[in-house]
Amino acid sequence: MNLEELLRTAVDDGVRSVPPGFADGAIRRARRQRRTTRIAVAGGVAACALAAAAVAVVDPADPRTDAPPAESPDPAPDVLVDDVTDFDAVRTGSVPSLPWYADGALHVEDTSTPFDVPFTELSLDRVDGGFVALVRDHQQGAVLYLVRDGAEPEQVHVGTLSDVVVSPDGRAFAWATPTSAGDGPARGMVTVTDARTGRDRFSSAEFDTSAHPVHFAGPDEVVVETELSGVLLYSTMRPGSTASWPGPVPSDGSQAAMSPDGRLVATVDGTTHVIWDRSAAEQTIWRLEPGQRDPRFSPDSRLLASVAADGISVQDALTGATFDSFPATDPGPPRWESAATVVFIARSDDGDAAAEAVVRCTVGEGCELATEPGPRGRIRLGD
Amino acid sequence: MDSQTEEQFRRFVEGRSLALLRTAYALCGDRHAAEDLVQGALAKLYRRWHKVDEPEGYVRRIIYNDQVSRWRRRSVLREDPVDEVPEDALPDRAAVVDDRLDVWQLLQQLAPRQRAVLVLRYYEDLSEREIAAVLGCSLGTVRSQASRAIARLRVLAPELTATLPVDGGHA
Repeated sequence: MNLEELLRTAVDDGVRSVPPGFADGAIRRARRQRRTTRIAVAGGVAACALAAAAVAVVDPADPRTDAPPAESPDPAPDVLVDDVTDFDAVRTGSVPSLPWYADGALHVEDTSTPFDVPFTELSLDRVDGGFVALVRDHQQGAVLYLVRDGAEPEQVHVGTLSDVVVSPDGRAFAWATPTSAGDGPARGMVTVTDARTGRDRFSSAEFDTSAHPVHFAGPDEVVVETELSGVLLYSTMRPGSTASWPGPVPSDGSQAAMSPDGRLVATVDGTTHVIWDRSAAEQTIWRLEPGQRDPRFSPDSRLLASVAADGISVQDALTGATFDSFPATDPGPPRWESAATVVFIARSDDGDAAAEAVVRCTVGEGCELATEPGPRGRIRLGD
Repeated sequence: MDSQTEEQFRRFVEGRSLALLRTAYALCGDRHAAEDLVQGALAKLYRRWHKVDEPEGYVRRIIYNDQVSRWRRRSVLREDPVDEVPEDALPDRAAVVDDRLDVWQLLQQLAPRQRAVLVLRYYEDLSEREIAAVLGCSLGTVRSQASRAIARLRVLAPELTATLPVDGGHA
């Protein structure tokens, strides 16, 4: 017997049967959880009614106003909910552990760093000891900032540049710039910058085609997608050397997401998203439904979250099987906070058309708000 | 949930609960805790039955997540396994007459993370990368824990050496 067989036999001997009524117990438990939610809501309503009555009788000497009493909103239940379309029915939990922008500051967990920079678009990433902020503005064009925690923003680059990708350890970030101007052929260069010093660690040779970084394959390896030369792997430890990325590479469309283990790739061609398995002979393994967009792989590469017609969908990354779904109004791209938790910006459908907040949903558990609701456009969520 | 759907759920529970219980038992090492873990996961499945395409995969993932959460709450995943296992914790070898019991007793003497790595690797047949994701640790940690666990088993039960992988079972 080998270890597998010994272990299997030992475990199987330890559990030979299922207790009677096991399914009934699970169903009762599920119903109890639902009832707890309802009780929490109903209890809140009752408490409000009692409080309102107390206000009416406690102090008759108070100056009377003829204005109708302000309605107290029903407090949100103290449990996670499945549906986040109505913010009044959702509790507020801890702030996101991912970076976000609100009210002129960059936030992550409980810390804030002033960021008084005007923008029309903001792409934000957390790096070791700070943030990388790519700002696009009608007047200034694109500006890449490195913002160390609590410090003033430092400009890394001004001018046209690609999206930014961050290394797994957060110590470096990669970005690309076009190096040709006017009507000449598109050319580009990829730069890797040290997130702690702001100094460039590595710049690729000029590509004879447009190029942009899509992923860090490891702390020192950048996957670069080029228009004409396919996908290349750069090692920042061996400047000047490139290698074709091992394994098959999808040829249709551009890469929309890559699983952290590098095995799965989501490509988009027009509005069609295809999931590829680079380790399989049959590369295309499944497709997102029409209308699904912004796919993101979980940190463990096992799940894929995306924006669907009625909220956020979570699917098995290998098979496309639905794992969970969270109804939400006009959700933004999902970001994984952990292997089972996504956060995204959504709007409230409770009549307050201006309300927007970061929502956190955990697979198998439910959802809560991660920020207080505020006016639309106030918050930007980063990675 | 209507009666027809509830019947589907019951059929799933009846068909898969034994395997799920064994997985949970292998992970937590306690029969009652395993039943609680599985029933909690099944309750979550019941609430989302109409949304879930692969019920078994869903429940297994919930079981892994919940068990790891329990370990984290008790901080057992941060234990130093080498220091935690006393040398004199060996079972009475003469009293062990059954290899199957022997293996289970030996596993109980490993630190929780070492046991979890072995169970996920050799009982659940997960890859090292998947184990790292489940336990929320690095690939290197999974490998080192597997190597230490195998080395520990060799010390605890030299007669099992022939059955143990030579390199910690890297995959």
